[in-house]
Amino acid sequence: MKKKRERVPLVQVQGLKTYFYKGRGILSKVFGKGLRIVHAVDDVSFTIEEGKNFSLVGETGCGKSTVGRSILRLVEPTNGKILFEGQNLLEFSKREMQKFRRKAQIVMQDPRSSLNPRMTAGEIIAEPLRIHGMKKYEDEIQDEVARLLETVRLSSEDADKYPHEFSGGQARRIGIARALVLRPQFIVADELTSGLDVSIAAAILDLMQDLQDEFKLTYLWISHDLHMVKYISDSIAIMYLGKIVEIGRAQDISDDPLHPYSQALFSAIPTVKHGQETKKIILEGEVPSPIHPPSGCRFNTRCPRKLGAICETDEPPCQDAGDGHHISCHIPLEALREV
Amino acid sequence: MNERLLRVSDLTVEYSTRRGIGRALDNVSLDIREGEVLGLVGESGCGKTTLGLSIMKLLPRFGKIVQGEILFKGRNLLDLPERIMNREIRGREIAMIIQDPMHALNPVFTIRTQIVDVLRFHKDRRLGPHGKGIQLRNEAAKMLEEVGIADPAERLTDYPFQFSGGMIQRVMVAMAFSCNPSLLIADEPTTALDVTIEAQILELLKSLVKRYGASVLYISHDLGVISEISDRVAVMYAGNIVEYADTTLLFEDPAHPYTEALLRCLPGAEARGKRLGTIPGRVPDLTERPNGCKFHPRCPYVREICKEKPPKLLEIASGHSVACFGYKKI
Repeated sequence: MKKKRERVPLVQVQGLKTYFYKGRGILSKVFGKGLRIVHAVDDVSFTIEEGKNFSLVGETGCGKSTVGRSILRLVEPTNGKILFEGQNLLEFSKREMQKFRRKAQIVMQDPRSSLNPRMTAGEIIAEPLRIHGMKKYEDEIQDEVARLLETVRLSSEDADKYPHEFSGGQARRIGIARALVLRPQFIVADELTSGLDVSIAAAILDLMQDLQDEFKLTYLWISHDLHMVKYISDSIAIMYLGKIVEIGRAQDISDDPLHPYSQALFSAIPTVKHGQETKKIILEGEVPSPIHPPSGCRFNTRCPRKLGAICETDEPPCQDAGDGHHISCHIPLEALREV
Repeated sequence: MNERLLRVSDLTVEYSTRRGIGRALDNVSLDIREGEVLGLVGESGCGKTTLGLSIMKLLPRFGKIVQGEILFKGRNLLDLPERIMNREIRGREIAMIIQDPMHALNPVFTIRTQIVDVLRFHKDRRLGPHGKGIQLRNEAAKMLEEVGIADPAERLTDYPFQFSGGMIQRVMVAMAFSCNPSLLIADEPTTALDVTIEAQILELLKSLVKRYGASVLYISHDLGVISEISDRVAVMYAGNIVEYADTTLLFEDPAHPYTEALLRCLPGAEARGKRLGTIPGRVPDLTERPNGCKFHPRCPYVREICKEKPPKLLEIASGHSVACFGYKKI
């Protein structure tokens, strides 16, 4: 049944749009702000090859988590195509969706609120097995749980503990074990290391890499931590206010970001520097509201290299810098490269 | 520049918890010179915040300073009565910015009320509750302008929830600087913010510190931020300062195994494809701290002596101290 199709990327996202509607409730109708549309994700396309690490980076509210959730249809996309092994998810029946859910899993952002406080770690990890009926007998399930706990470097005795008994790092490991239990091919890791101490975060990243080798996993990383992203990814997409402004190989983007926003973002990361002082680009103001995103280029309100009226009126063209490196900006490539 | 503004010596703080008494700070000594930024770095639970709170004498009820001295401009803060602490020290001489700005402000008052409260308490006590309101309001507006908030007069009448995270942190900075303090304790002021906003706040802090000539105790777990803002750095582990050095010295030539390990944990493009160095084990619980050097169960260079007695903080070079028995071996 499992026929290996050659050269079909594992995940392809094409023109994905996810809007949220605010003000549909009765109170809004009475007090009348009317219907407002939050353009959380607005026309995003990218491809993730099997076995690779793809990262979505951006600041709070840029829509990166919404993309991750849309891909798994945890929120329903408004428009676009999501191809998993070449098939469009959005056309899947309920049955096909359930099958798909075995292949794609998510590790949620907040390990505490994503683990049910009334279930033991063992029950949490076993739940997907029960839902999907993967294992028939109770002792099989228990064996599997014990094995997974050890895979994520916890002890099998931890199965009887409740989430509050675990530290932040351990709680993430349980989230990872739950995602792994169905033997997926694809995992969305939403802010996996945020809020952890450096030494704990490093251990989690090492674990994720081991798991990738062991289970042949493909990861979509969602993060605002650029250090981590540089370290872990094969490709990076940088998002700003619902759109991808720059996408390409991790090395190209982290060594030589071209979009003015990417440049500011990378220059702003506080780093332990050895010797040379780098000039910081400090952006003014804050990210505008996605309810009324700026027209033209969405970054035009904060862009330090704004050209003029064209940035406010026209959608920026997608420029190809080679090797799959694309930038959405009105400034010509040569001029972008110069700085 | 070399005058000592604050000197903490042999400070020991104990917390009584359900599992017994634990030492959050164990014989901590440090000093802050006038006009310098001292970075205090360490993982969660190592005692950084406790140190900040002890200086303000704002420890929670279950925390107790059992030993030590905190000399600020020649006065031992631990001997000062509460009344003097409130009038002369807190907010006026020593200001504090805490990690979560949303929780630091009262949600049911406008920020004008809250800034004016501070000003009235410290600057304008004699005028009574209604005196010179306009003057104080103007001053509050001026402070907001100084921290880069547009339309300060308008924004003053807003409530905290109407500000974004970065903006509210600016308000906190404005409040902290409103009485021109000599020492600012900044406890993870940018941890909850996005990088571009973090960069803005750091820049703002740097410029205000320079303008007002304040000293700063900057507490953070982020080595990157610490390396950018501080002149000197103290590294804490499990209630002890394990290394204390000028910023460049610390990052170029870390002497303590813990500092070295922390720096190795930082992911970056250079490390791509390699495994990150991890520190085996975890920070010991407050009530279960090991004897001797507290880092010894996790230390790759551990020796017999490390298990027996705690190492002292010794100067190994000018401006560089380390608490380790085997630093030469590294």
